[in-house]
Formats: sequence, structure tokens, C-alpha cells
Amino acid sequence: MKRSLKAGFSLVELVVALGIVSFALLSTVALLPLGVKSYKETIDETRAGFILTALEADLRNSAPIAGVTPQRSRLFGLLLPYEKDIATGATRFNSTIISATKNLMEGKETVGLSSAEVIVPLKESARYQASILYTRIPAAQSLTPMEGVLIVNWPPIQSTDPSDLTNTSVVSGFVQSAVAFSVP
Amino acid sequence: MKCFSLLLKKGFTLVEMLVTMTVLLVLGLIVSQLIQAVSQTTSLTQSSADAASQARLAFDRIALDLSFLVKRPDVDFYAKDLQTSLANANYSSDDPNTLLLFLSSVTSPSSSVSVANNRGISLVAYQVNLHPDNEGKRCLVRSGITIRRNLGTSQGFMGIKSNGLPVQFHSSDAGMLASLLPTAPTANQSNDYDVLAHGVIHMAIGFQLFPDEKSVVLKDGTMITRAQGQVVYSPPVRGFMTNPSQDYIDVDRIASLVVSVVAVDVETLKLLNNSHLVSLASVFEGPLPQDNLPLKVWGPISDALVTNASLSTIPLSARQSIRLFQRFFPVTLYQSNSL
Repeated sequence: MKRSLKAGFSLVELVVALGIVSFALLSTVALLPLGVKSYKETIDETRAGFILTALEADLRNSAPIAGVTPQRSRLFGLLLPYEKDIATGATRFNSTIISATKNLMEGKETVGLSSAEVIVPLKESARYQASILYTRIPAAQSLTPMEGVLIVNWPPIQSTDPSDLTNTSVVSGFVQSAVAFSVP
Repeated sequence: MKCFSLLLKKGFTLVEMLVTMTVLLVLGLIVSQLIQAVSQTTSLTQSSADAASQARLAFDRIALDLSFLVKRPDVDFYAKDLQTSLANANYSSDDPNTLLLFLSSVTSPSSSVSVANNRGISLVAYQVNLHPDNEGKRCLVRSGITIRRNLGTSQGFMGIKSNGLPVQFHSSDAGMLASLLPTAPTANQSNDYDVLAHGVIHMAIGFQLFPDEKSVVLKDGTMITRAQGQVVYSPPVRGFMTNPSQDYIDVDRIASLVVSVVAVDVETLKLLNNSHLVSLASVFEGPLPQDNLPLKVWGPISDALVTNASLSTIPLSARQSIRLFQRFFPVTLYQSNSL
């Protein structure tokens, strides 16, 4: 006992003590950004939810214009479910949507949105990415509706693979909603 | 004993103490810097999240009220026209501050109406106005006045008049029971309004036109030859009269309402008085160009608040805490107005 008091702490003891202290400190510090992250997630989710309502309203209420290919929505420039027959003027399902999307195309199925929710190129200052994936395309003359999924994800990604939009190892978050467009 | 006194005498040398203190000081400095940075980010994100929740609070209530909107040709609907100057903007509402005024089948509790007499429909109104429950500062307030079962009068709140148009939600309309119209709040009287979102300091309403490809006239006189889903800031009207007070908003021609808000968090709100809020909100007032969503126009304005000389009396941190939100609310579903 006397000997150990005189000798002070050994190197091993010091290292162990330092290890414990730094472990405790580091884990406390590591917890702090977690809180910030969950706040940021809430904000992004809220805003993305609002963007979804705008996307749906845009796709439902943009009137197709005869002779324009591809048919784009007014506000976000996404592929419209309907088109107008030049000869008869009748509205029908968009014939350019012939199969479910396998390759996302910017300006067709997907767009980048800035923090002011304005279209910007995906590569640049985009904060969100908004997409429409048509998942069921009815056969001609059938009465089944066209179905699709609206997705807003953040941060925007360059991938053309639609499944990446909802893959949380690629994006940090996303919201989606299913939509159906009735036979015109 | 000898050993003990020797141990006490030994102590630490000056050099040892100096080294320890320096190491501790450096460590302390690093940790305090770290904590300061983290707490700054936390409070910034927290205030941002708070502003987002203020907007969600407002939007969720508006969504609920609008989903039960009584949409009939014999029932009036009022939404504020951004494009028309304040002088004649109150054409369908007594109060120029009223942003929305409509009939909705939501229940409003009322102390003066018994449960049996409560029809479960209400005249709902939204304003951004000062309110005693928000320390006399402006914020988003909502009113829901219940429609009683026994109104007991020749006046009511709906019905077609001899000119073919519905009874207006306006006290000057002989068919309208004035007691059903909400009274605006003052700095110390809440009257018919309750605070909905403390942090919402400005709200604007836009209208997405129903894409029926027919011509439509807007309240401000603009004529649109083909309604194709444009977003406009003056509501489409039913019959365009020479007297603006007789123009009725045609809800059938509105596909969705675009509601946008300017919000601040509760912490920032504590730094500001009502005149601060009025001058902050005034930056976002005024007409908006067709087919431009409010955030597109307001975004750059909000970014420029920091350098805005006319707002220099407002704390910088408050000018940096302005957040903008917009949301669409479907009113007339696609193809539903042709049924």
C-alpha cells in the first residue's frame, strides 16, 4: 500500500482512466448531432409532404394540350397521365406512357426542386427531388384507371433507377403517395 | 508516520501543475467550442422545426375545414383577392382582413347553443390579425360560428336570391343573419376568433383553375380564355357584374386552393412586437404573378431580409428566422364538376 501510494499511478492505470473518460465524452458528443438530425428530418418530411400536395394538384389539373409531346404538367413539368387527340380533341391516356417506368428521366419522370420549391437541375442546388412513377398503365379501351406513385426524396440523386428513390441507403429520406387517374 | 509526512510534503512540482493546467485548459476550450457549435445548430434547427410545426398546425386545420366545405350554388364562398387593392377587396366580407370565409360541416362548440340545437355546420373564417391570446400580436386566427337549428328569423345564411345568386356572407345582404358573421379580434378582445398558429404572421390564398378549357373571368377583371390549371391570385367569379360587390367566387372553377404562409418560431416571436411583425409581413404582401407559386416569389424576398435597410430595427436573428411554406388543398376534384 505504502509503495503504491508513493509511486503514483502506473501508466496502465492512466491509460485506462483516459480511455474511460474519452469514451464517455465522445459518446455524449456523438449524441448531440443525432438530435439535430432528427429535427432536420422532421422539417424535410413536413416540407416534402407539402410538395406532394402540389405535385398531385399539378398532375391532376394541368390540361393536356393537343399536339405537344411529351405532355408536361404546368408547374413541375412532369409527364402528364393524359394527352389530347389532335384530330378529335378528345382527352385520352398519354400514349407515350406505354410501360411502367424503368429509367427515370430528368424533366420527364423526375425533377429537382430548390428550397423555394422551384424546378432546378438535379445536379445543381436542388434540395428535393420530385418524381412520378406510373405503375399501372391500362390497355386501350379498358376502364381501369392509370395508377402511379408520387415520391419526394432528399437529397436529390443522379440515379436513373426508380427503386433508388425510396432506398434509404441511397437517400436520407422520402415521402410517397399513391395516385389513380380515372379514364377520361 | 514518517512515511505519511513525506508523502504530504512531496506534492506536485510547479512544472507538473503548469503542464496539467495547460492540458486541461486546451481540453476545456475544445469541448466548450464543440458544445457551443452544437447548441447553436440545435437551436437553429429547433426553431426551424418549430416554424414548420406552426405551418403544419395551420394547414392541417384548413385541410379539415375545407374537406367538409359545403360547396353548393346556393351557398357563398369567400377568399381574399390578392390582386385587387384593399379599397374594394372587401366585396364579400365585412372585414378586409378576412382571408377565407366559408360554410363547412364541422362542428363548433358553442356556449350559447345547446347540443340539440347545434346543426354541426359552421361558418368558418380565417384571418391574420392581432389577438389578446398572442399578447396582442398578429397571428393566424380562426373562427367557427355554429349554425343553430332554430334561427327563428326570415334571415338565414344560404339560399338563392331573386337575382339568381346566393345570400352573401356580408352584413349588407338583407338575407344574411348578421349574428352569424364573425367579429374580428382586437388587441384585448378575442371576440369570435381563437388563435390557430402563434407563429404564422402572413397568409396568402391562390387559386388553381379547374381545367375545363372554358373561358373564365377573375375578380380583378382578367379574362382567361382557357382554364387549363393555371394558378392565379384573383378568384374566378360567377357572374361578372359592373358592381364588384356583386361578384361571387365560383368554387366550381377552382380546382385547388394554394395556401402559403410566412412563419416564425415561438422563440423568435418573443423578440418581436406587433409593429415588427406588421412590417415583416408587409414585405410579402401585394400581388403575385400568374403561374408562379408564392414560394418562388417570396424566397428571394426572404433571403434579402437580412440586408433590408427598412427593417433594420428588427433583430437580425429574427430576420433570419423567417420560414415559408405552401400547400395545395383540393376543392373541386378532376372531372367532378361535369357530373
